[in-house]
Amino acid sequence: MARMNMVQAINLALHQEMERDPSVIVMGEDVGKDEGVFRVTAGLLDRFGEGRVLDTPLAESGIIGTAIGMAIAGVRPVTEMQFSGFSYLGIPQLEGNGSRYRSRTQGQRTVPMVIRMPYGGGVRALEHHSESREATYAHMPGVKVVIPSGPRNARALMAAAIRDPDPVVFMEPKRSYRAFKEEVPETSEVLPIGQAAVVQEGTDLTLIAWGAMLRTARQAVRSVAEARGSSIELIDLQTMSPLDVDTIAASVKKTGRCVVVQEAPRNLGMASEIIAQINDRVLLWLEAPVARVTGFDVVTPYFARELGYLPTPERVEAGILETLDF
Amino acid sequence: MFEFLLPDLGEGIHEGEILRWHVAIGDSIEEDEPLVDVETDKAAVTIPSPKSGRVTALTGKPGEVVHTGEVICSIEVSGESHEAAPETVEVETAALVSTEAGVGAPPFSPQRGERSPIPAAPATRRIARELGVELAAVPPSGHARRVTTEDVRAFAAGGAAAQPSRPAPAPRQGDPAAAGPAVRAEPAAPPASATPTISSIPFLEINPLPDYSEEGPVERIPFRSIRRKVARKMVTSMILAPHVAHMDEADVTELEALRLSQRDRYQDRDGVRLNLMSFVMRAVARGLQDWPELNASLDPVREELILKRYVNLGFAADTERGLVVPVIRDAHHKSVLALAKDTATLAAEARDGSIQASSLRGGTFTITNIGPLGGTALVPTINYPEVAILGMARVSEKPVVRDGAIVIRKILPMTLAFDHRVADGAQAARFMTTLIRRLEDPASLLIET
Amino acid sequence: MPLETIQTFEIQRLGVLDADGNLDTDLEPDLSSEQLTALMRAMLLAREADQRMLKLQRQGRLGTFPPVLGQEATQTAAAFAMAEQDWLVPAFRDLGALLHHGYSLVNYLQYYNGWEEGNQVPEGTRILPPSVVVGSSLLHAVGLAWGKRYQGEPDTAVLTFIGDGGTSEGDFYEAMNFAGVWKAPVVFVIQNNQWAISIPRDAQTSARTLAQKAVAAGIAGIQVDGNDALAVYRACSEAFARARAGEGPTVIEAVTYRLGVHTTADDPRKYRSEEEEKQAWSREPLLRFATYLDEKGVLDAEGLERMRTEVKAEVQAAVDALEAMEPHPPERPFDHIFGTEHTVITEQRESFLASVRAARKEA
Repeated sequence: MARMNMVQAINLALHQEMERDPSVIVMGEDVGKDEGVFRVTAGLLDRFGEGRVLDTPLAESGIIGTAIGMAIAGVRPVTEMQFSGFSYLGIPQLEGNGSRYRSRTQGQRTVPMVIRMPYGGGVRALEHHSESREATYAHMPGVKVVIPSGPRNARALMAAAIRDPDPVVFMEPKRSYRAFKEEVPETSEVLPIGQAAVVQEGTDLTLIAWGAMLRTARQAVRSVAEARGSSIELIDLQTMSPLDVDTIAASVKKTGRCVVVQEAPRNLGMASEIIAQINDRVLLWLEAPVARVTGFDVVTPYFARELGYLPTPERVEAGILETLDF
Repeated sequence: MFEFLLPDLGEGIHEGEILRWHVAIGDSIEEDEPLVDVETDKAAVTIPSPKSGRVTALTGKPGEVVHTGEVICSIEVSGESHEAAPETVEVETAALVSTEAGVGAPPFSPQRGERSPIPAAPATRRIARELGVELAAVPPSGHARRVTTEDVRAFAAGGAAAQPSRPAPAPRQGDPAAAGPAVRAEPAAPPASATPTISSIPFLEINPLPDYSEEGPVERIPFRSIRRKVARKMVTSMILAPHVAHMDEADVTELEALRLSQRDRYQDRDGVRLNLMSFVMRAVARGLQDWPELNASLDPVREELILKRYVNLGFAADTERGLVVPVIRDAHHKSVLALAKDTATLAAEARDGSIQASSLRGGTFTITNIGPLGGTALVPTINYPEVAILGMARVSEKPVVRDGAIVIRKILPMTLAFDHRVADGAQAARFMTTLIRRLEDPASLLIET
Repeated sequence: MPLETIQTFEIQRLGVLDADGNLDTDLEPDLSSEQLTALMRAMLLAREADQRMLKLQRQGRLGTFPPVLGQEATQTAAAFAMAEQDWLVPAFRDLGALLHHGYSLVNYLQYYNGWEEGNQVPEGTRILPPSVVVGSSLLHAVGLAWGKRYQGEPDTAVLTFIGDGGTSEGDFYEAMNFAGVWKAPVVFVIQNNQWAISIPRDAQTSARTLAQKAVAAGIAGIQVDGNDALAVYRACSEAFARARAGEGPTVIEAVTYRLGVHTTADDPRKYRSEEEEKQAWSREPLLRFATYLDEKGVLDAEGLERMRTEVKAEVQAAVDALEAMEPHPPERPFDHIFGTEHTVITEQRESFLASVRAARKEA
């Protein structure tokens, strides 16, 4: 075990997966010599050489498109989009081809590739560098979307993403890159994609969060426990698509109450789908409507106003109390 | 705009019937002038106007029932402009409206003409469904008139209203981004009438049981399943329906002779045992078509008597597991033979436990025949929510007077217990008399039914 | 300081056999009679299949499809230059190339009748499915080429097609650029058939040739007479040789003409004249090649007719096979969405099948 932050943890996964499987390569803008603008790909060029760590031209569609071709060839490319705000240029390739080759050829050609991107706000960044657009990617059939919340699961989920037979959009909450450290085992650890984690058990209410919002959620849980003695079950969603409906349903069936915390804008976010699934499966166990504590349906503000936009522990707490008291 | 809510008309009365309005829409009225006459259970009352001004709205036509706390009249008060916001005189009405449950206060009634769903959490609805409880019949204790799970369970257990289990919520601070559902934002409605709690029935005192083991050995058997269900049904029936028992006897000498003469033939031909009860069922089914108020149910919420134009006869059957009441459907269309057959089939299924749940539901009238086991008379309990039940005791040979002479005849004692909310002695007597005539004269049973 | 010219460029045009039958014997590729006959047959097959498909479509027996009429040499001769281990990444108007490199006509017909099963090629066939998003597959070709080289196949190259319209897409520039940076063994063939639905070539770009777009990416570019099978073959062979030698990609602009409609849902009368089409017919590829073979003593008129009959029968057999097929299972999309199992998909599959069964009962 070693204590490390999320950047180091993802880096560890990359090193270990590239060591384990020679078909894994890394490509993106500034990932080699510069080791990535957040240093997530540190040490890879030195260790594995420019045959496997490619500093690509500045062309997102080109990166995703060629990676698709590589994946079809049998390579496992781990691509980087420097910021999620630039990844949209790669969407035509991902939506039009990456997500489709498997079904287009009925499984004959598959696209095992990873698209890494830092996402989310709270780091006082420039325009386009703070959005949370996981729902856009999760809405594409054939694409998997994974969001870690801390160093340990970031490492384990990255290993899973690299080994996965399908295109995985791996969204890294940049606010959490260096914010805290966790114990991460030396030996390789893999978490299954498509599975949420119950990080804390409880009986009174189910709180669902992902990415940077996990820490916000934890604070709210502590606060409510202190104030009211409530027992909150906290779920780290981890995979946006395919959604772990079984874990969510089992938890809500147990507690009868649920709050979802979402950094992304309110309209049509992951929370909407979660609530729809709860409606489908365990409606008759609900004691109260499922609440959402979300961002707003406005353009993400420049950083002077950013903290008011993001869900805070206070807002989450209010949502929890309202739901408990319904 | 002043909205006048119907005040408490005294002694815990919560509603009244509009007799007549003293004003029409558009009329001017002075404070203290007569506004409306309202009749309660006790008397007719004239309500004077609390304000001077112009009447802009009236709720409730003569004959309609209005409830305490409902807006019955709107008055544009003199001196106020048109644009004034409606003034709800909460202080005044709070003083007038009793918040304590009074004796005889009716159970929860919904707003007039309201057909909207009853507010209840999904979990509560599931429990209600499982317990077979109609949400509309359950007195709500939750805020904003919400029916809680506790309310449902209490109702299913026998009618006592639950105490409000959740405090009213703190003012909503919630997530500013939230635009929550309308239900949450609903302001507190006028206080709903509560059902009487047990403690409010005079002289009723339920004390904890003494420790019987102090006197001698005891055995405790769990009170479960059918036994417990029967207990619930009996308490419910006895509390809700005022029982009257009308007793009479039928001379079934000729009927019995007929029955016994035909018994073997049908036993051989159809394997059906013709019993006396089948003949009684036939006669009862016909009788219920002529006296439908004995083949009905009372809807306390909508205050309507539901007359059923079909006759599904239940008959009490004693089984190892307890008392069950299998139901013969469309008895009014069935012959004596068919009734005998169905009785035998259902009784057998009840005894061996294979009877379907659907065969235990849907009854409109019940017959209970204790005769084979003995007894000179019985006063049966109505199978709520039915409104009448016929009990048959043991047929025995008795000396009776006919044309001045004493003869020995076979006599069948019967008791019709009925719900006096719904029927009166006269109807019961007429029903029974006709029934008896048809049993005493089998030819009329054939010809008239 | 005086302006110094630091870079100029030059685009050459290659022709071997022109429309009038003039042959440049120096440039004539060294192909055996068997090879020449095979090439003719391949082009004829494309022509006949195409024509048959047009009729089927008009009869409602086939969905909308893009005919290759007039472009048989451009695509077939290019594929003819491929080696067995090379990969073909098509655009969507490449029937001649597909059929030559191992794709079956039955599959093609299935594809245009709306079945993904049409994209399933026999094991070992090195072809990707048609690309409906114009230009997007060029990047796949580049990645595929790089990937195969990375996997230890130094002699594997990739042939990929694009149209004149497609060269305006961003992905075309990005593909050439990446291929140049990586020296990827890719042969880009631009089938310049003069028309992108209704947009003529001159309205597509101010560049005088499409081949010169290669210059911007720093890679080789050449223009050829696309209706000249020999020129196309020669240019592609050279490009493949360069690629295998590690010298990187080539862009070949094959100038041809779309004699038919864009797709069967198109009416060319709205934007071009019948006169122009007639003119173009005089330059069509099959006639000139047949004449060349005849004069060379490889295949005479009778032989050609026999070949045509044979080819027609082959086409008919494919049509018969298509129409004898049972519909494929409706639930297949659920089986091929992910490589792993997930509750949400499994449930939806079951729900879908239940509604299919219910609909069948009602029917």
